[in-house]
Amino acid sequence: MRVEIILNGERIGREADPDMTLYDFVRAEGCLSVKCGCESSSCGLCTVFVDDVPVLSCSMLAARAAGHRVDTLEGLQEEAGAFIGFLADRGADQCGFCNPGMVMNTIALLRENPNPTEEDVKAYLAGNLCRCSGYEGQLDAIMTYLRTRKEKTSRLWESRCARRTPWNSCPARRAIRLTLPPGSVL
Amino acid sequence: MMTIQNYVRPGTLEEAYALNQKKANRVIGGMLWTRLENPRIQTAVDLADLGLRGIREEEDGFHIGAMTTLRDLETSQALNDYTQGAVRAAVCHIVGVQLRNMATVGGSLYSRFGFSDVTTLFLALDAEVELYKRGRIALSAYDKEKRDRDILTGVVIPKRGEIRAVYESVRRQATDFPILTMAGVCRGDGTLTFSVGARPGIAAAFSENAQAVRDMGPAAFGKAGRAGDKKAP
Amino acid sequence: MDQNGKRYTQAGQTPPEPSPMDRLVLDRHVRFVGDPVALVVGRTEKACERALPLIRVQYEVLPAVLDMDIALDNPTVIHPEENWEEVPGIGGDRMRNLVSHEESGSGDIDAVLSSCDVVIDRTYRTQACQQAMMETFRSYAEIDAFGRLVITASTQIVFHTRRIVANALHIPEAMIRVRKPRIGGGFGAKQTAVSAVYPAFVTWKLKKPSMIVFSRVESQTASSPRHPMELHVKLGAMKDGTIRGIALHTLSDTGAYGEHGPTTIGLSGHKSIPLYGSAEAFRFTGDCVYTNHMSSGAYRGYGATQGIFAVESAVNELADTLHLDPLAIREKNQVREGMVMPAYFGETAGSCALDRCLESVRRRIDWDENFPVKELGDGKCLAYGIAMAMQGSGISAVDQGSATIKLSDGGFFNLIVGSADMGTGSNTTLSQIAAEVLDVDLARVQCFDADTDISPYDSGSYASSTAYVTGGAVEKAARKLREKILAYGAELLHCDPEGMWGHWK
Repeated sequence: MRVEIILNGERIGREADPDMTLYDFVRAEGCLSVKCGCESSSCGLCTVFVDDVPVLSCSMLAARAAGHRVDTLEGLQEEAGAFIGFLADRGADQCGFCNPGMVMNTIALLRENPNPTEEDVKAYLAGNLCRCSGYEGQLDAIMTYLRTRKEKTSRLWESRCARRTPWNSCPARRAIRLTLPPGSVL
Repeated sequence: MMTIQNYVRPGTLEEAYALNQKKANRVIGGMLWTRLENPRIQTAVDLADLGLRGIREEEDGFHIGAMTTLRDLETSQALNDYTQGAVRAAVCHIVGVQLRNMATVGGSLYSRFGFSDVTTLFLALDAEVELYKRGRIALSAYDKEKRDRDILTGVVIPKRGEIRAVYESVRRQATDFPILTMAGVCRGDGTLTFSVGARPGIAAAFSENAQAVRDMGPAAFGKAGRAGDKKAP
Repeated sequence: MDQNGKRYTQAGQTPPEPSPMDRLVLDRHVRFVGDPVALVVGRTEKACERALPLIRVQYEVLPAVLDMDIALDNPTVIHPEENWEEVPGIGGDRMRNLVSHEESGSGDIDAVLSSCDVVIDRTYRTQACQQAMMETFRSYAEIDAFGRLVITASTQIVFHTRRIVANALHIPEAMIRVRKPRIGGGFGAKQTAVSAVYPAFVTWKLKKPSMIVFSRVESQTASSPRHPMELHVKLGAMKDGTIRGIALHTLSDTGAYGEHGPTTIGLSGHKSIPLYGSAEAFRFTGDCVYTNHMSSGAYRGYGATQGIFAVESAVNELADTLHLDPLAIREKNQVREGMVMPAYFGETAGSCALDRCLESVRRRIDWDENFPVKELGDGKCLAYGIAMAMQGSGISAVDQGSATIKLSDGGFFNLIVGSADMGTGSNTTLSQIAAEVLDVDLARVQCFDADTDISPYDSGSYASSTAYVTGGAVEKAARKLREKILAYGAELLHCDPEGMWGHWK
């Protein structure tokens, strides 16, 4: 049967057996970032987005996804780029096999909840298994990314004020800080 | 390895039901457990186009379509307000967000597995399943039956005033199958329905005056278990 | 299948392998649930799946040996075949289901133990564990333009795999090339050629590319898990906590095939007993037996883990018996730098910071204040315990590493090694070593691992060898290249190479 999917923004169609999984489909179309680590829907390595929802591509028929938008890491490089540097800096990425699935699910988490707590991160990423690490590196990297993102916002303010008057004696800065909505960037 | 000869997405329940009467055909909901059985399927009957996904709060209760995902249940404000988060507690430890975005409440109830968190809680909530041909029957009765070829289209959690609900499970590891599940639902009239699952059999429940259940202590587990005994009168 | 009888081992070890040659690609005698019975080759996975139920196997079921305690001299002989081979010195006797036997000792242990105030006599049992790396076992094979067999494998051991395939297929090693791309973890599981032989055989016979990918179930049931061991410890000490004698007997279950059996059992004694420099006498004996379990293999720790668990548990029980602080007992008895270690082949502890480790631990977790238990309130508490361990960087006088460094016309360096980065970051580490010696940015060093045609010889990545052994080769090669560059540069610039270093940058 012919199965057509909007894969990373591009309409892709191919002949597929009725039992072809979405995993096999995306990999046949060159999306090799999608990995498989089990056959019991347990590990999360095969995570892709279907209509922006993170799912296990190994457990979904390509036919089920027909007509829908499917995204893999190949199509989310920019969004992933925001935080994967923190993963690398922390040495959290070892063999890398679980990494694409974990990055995908992290993107999903941050879209759903831009300011997760540690508990939120642990709960959301619980379905992504990694055998090289103890998950501390990934958690630390994400929390550092979130903290740095917040600091960048306030540091922008500081640098603007510092150019005009010394930090301590800048009444305007205090006033701006109070009125600006959180997360705003100048 | 699961094999499928034909894939069909019926537009009507009648069509889906008709296809499901053939032994070699299988309904595809979340498909998560199905693929573990490595079945040889002649025709896969995908329920995706039948509008069976959704949670509707009406006066008489919550009408939940069979294709509603476990994640839908987990994030439903209405359901979790009504049950003080017991619905979230029942599903949030199941494998991961990705799996819960695919697993359906219909699959969870139809399969009648002993380890089912959903069955345990829904029993305590006095849920009723909706079957295409047979209509509505109590989950407690459904759980005692063998699987048949009727299509489970939804489940209703009746609302009879305010309730206090709680769900707990014991798991050896996070995200793993539970080794013990339990739910308690206390109603305005003072009755408590106490259900226990992963006994290791399928969940079973009994209802009694809340204080009486409290006084029973651990013996309540045994009483719930016996309620599930098919041989009991 | 004509195997012409000669058996091989799948273990990745420096030859002559201390592993029995006890395998055939397919054997009529299958020895555990998971032992291959047939190779089914098809164009697609589906075709193979359809073929499987069409095969009927008739088994003559023999009594199984599923308990290492009854394996030795059991009436069921797991390897009765006459063409079973083992290098001398391993002490195996296949008709007794014995893969290896070793004995070592120093001093009169029996006399010492009988003159001790207290003897802790315990038997500890450890279980098999799966490395469970996220990427399962897989390899593929093809015939290249020159008619050679090229195998791409998820492996830690490209050179050993080449030899293993040559032995299994009875073809010359020169006809085989083994490559390792990026792989998803190993932890020792891939120090055994678990999957490569099968596509190698199929492709060699059919002259068509073939591949095999183990499922997770197969990676759990037909792989190379940690050896279950039974460790009988006798620890003799005086009332004041002086440990005077340690005796250990290890029984190890190597499963259906010998592979890493004879070597892992050795570490159980040789990497536990030497921790105690105070001991006047020791005895270590070990029996590695065949059973009808999955063939055990290499897993980080490689036998030391099991031995240390046993000995350290016994020392903690000693501390408890004598009402002494377990950390203090270790401080009193630990091996120190400069001491000779009779239980470690008589080698001297030339480098040993164990004392500083213990001191650091004592300080950092407030041991004196908190041991044995810190109440946290709310019905919870934090219990404190301690154990020591020792490890070597590589197998002394056995492991080998090499490195080739090329300065390219593009002004960057190719660093070519035969070790295997499996997520360990060894490629980065080795690049950093080269970059530091050559005094260039890390980005200018491109590290390549591993290909038996291109990489210089390396025993492979296991035994904590890569950073130290291969790294040592990288440093040497980088220094040599630096000298060459300086000499050549001096020639071009008509100046003295001695003063060149200042101008290097």
